[in-house]
Amino acid sequence: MKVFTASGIEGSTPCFRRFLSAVRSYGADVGVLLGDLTGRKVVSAIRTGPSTWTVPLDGKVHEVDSPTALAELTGHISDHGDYWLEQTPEEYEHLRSNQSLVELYFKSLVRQRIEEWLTLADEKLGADGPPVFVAPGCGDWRIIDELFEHGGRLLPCDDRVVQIDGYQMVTSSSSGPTEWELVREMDDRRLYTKLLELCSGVGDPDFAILNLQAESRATQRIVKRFQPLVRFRGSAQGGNGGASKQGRTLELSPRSPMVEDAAPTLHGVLVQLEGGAVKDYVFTEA
Amino acid sequence: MKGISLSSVIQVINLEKQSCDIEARAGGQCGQLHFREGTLVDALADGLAGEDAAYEILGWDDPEFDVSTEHSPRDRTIEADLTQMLLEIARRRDEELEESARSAAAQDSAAPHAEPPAPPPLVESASGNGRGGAQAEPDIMAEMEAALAEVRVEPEIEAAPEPHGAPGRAPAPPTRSAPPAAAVRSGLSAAGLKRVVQLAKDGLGDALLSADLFSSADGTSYVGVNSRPAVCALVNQVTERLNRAFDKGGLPPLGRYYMAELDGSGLLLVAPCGDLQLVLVVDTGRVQLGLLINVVLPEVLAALEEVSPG
Repeated sequence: MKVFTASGIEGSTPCFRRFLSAVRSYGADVGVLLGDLTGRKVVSAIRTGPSTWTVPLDGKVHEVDSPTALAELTGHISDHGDYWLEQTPEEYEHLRSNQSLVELYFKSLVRQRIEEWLTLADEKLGADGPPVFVAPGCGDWRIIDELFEHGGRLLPCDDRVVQIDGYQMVTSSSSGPTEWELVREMDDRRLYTKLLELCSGVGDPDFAILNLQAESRATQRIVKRFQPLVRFRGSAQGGNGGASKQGRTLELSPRSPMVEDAAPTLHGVLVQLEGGAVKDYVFTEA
Repeated sequence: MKGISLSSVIQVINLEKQSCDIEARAGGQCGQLHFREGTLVDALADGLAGEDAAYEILGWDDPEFDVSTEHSPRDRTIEADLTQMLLEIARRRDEELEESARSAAAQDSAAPHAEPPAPPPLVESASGNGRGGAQAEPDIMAEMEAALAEVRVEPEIEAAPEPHGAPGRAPAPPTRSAPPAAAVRSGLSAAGLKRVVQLAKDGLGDALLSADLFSSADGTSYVGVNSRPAVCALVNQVTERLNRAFDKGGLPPLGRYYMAELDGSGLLLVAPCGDLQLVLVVDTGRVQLGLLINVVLPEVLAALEEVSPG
């Protein structure tokens, strides 16, 4: 069985498209997309005239003087996973003083993009394609979770054990404590208890795949205790990823996107499992 | 506020149990939606109130709206569940779309069918059958350069010119593309041909500057994105000459594809397959070669092999 896993696309639609293409092109029997799935910021395109806009972005102010140039800039923003909103100067000022409204719009844009992805996945994967599982990351708002529960081609796998071709795959988006106070983080004791309960459904560890993105004492203890055949985990922002062994468990971590990457890039790993052993694996970049 | 949909906003309000008022406007109408702890409790719209007003507003296409988080107590006039209301609106929209599709199909079948027009004359500089031969040989690179210069940036799958225009569709520009009917007459699947180009478009996005799937017999393009008939004719000659040269040089014939780097950031990729050839012009500044070669191309070639009778 060939499993193609990618992670950390952070709102980038080009990366999501590549993921869908890669699952088929690499001949994977199953695709797994792990978080973070959502982008990090909303950019304001402030309309200053009939065909002019001011766009504050990454510490610079872009003066845009045509709809074509605006489309190009907002396309760039979207491709890199972020979101944009066209506003009047009054709306912009109003939003600056109303953080709860900013958050409402941000979350709405996040859901809007995931909904677009669901449609895209249904179109691109078709009815006969391999199963594709998806789970958010520890930095993703929970408002996206229910979107995967409606029976489309993207199958939810977070906080559950799913059966794939004789293997059991356990996934959790939860993380231990971090310096960023992420949405899904919890103290190590609680995380350990949660993962213990989740992994208690695992039969033969030789036929178990563990998707635990975040690293913490709890996840290390779980890996040590259950010794699954393979574990997929994330790498820190800008990290190179790679493969390592924890006892008999092969831990695979695709490279994380670099902030300075000029173009959005999909990092993944294709693993071939056979008879309860890892036959081969290759890290991919597209 | 543009770039955000009303339905996304109200779903978040509902999920997060927020209290707020929304003022929406569309086509000269305006209305209000009032949420308390995530529940839609009241609505007003042009003489309507309660559930009727809510259905009216939620059915508007792409309304403008403002959200106010300052709110006052409000009596509940709507008992229906918001999710059910949104599903009902989606169902009504689907029905409307199906109805308009049925009407369009009925109009289409009522229109007199004409034979597809004869293809316009071949591109002047290309040879008569697109395969070179005895005629004077054109300056291929100059032709190619001129043809590529015309490539637009935002590609759309071109409606292969229909014998009669589909309703609501702008007339196709004059090209040497053949109607799908011609492909079908040649024993090809029109849907299969379109799928090949659609896969390239999906995979490459705005990096795809142009694409043509054309007949090796006469250079006729069956389907394309920013279709360039001159490029088809020229590439047809290049492929033919390469095969001849390889044969003379004792080399195996061309494999599944060949590429040429163009000045700037362009890449010409040609995939001959049986009686068909696919030519893609790609902006390599917008797509990584790894993606093109390892992800998109295998998918496109597989679809091309499926559709090619050869």
